Amino acid sequence: MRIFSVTRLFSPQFPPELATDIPVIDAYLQQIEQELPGRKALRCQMLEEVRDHLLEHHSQLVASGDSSDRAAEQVTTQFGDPTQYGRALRRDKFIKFAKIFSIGTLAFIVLTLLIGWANPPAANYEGITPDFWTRHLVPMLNAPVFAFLMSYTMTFVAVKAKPDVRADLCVYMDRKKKYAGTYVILYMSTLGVIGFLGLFNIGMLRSFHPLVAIAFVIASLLTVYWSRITWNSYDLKDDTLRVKTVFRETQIPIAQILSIKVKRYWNDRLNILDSRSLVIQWRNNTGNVQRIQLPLNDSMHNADRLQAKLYAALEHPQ
Amino acid sequence: MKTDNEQILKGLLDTLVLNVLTQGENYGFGIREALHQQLGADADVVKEATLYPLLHRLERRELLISYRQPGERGTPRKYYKITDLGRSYLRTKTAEWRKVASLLERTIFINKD
Repeated sequence: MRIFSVTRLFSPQFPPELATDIPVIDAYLQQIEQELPGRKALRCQMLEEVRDHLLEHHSQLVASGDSSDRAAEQVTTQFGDPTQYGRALRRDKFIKFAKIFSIGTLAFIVLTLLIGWANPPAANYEGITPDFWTRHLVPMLNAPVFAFLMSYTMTFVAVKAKPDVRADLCVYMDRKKKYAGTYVILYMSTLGVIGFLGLFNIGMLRSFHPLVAIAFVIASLLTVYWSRITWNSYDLKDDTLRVKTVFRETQIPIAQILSIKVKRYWNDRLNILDSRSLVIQWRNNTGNVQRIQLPLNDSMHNADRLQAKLYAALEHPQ
Repeated sequence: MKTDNEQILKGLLDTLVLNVLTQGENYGFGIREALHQQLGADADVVKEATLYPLLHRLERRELLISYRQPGERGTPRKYYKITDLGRSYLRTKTAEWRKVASLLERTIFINKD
């Protein structure tokens, strides 16, 4: 058994939505699909581009007089070896997995050591205080497990949100993501409260160094703050970008945009969930230059389309 | 075994792809068609199995961005658009190729003529 097949365990079948009714092209797509890791929706996304290419080329050849079968043979031969192409796509995924796994493992080990350093050792039932490594070796061994779960989810489970044609150029997260956002906010707020109480020697963190409690509070507050983007929506209509956030609504006339810069954060560099912020500067009606930061990520419908549209608007001002 | 000509064209391919995208955003098949038009007899070097990994690599390097648009064939179509970084990379590469061309003009080609 090939090891990557484990990632396809719960949905090993060829995604039916990719079937084209052209047997040669379907067989070709299935050959590539057999080489891909991840859940069905992810494999489907990885194959969409090839499918589109083959069908477009096929139509072109049929329009120029070839029979459907002959055209299908020709387009698949021209595309190249399906196994090799599938392997190339798979390699990209494994590189991403390895990157997140190694950085995640290191980060969890550092975190374990920091917490261990800040937590005063207690004597066991024999009255012996274990040394630092005895206390922290086992927790440190958990690091690859956490990192594995994280990198597995980010690489083989998470998929980009589909473009939503009904919403035109409205960028938003769907209801499931909002539920997830609510969960993260509740969970991290609880951790924040635990950290805060720890500062006053109350609760789970009472015996920890105050720096650990402060770190808990800061990490929780930052996560809660960033989770608010689940409720953001950006709507590009009638040459105006309407930015709705939890706190306010801003309208930006596209023609008055001066610059758009992409801002990435250290965690974006890991390519975990392709997220970035667009920093938009525009001149308002009173002549003042204003600036807004638009957080975007691949869980948002139409995020990539909006970004491309804004770039195009800046390149070709009306 | 790849011929020298194929090797040179493959080295040029990222520049050619970026150049096609300066004319406007395009999708995989459209880029292939534009390249075929420009390359004429040498077009066979641009195999699809080479083109797509190249597009993905350029995207990872942030020289391109991509977006998916609802397509006519049941699945979204992926478009590529060159970024400012991509344009500046293209300018650098074009200047490098120009230097190579000028060097050849001044040396080998002139002697042959």
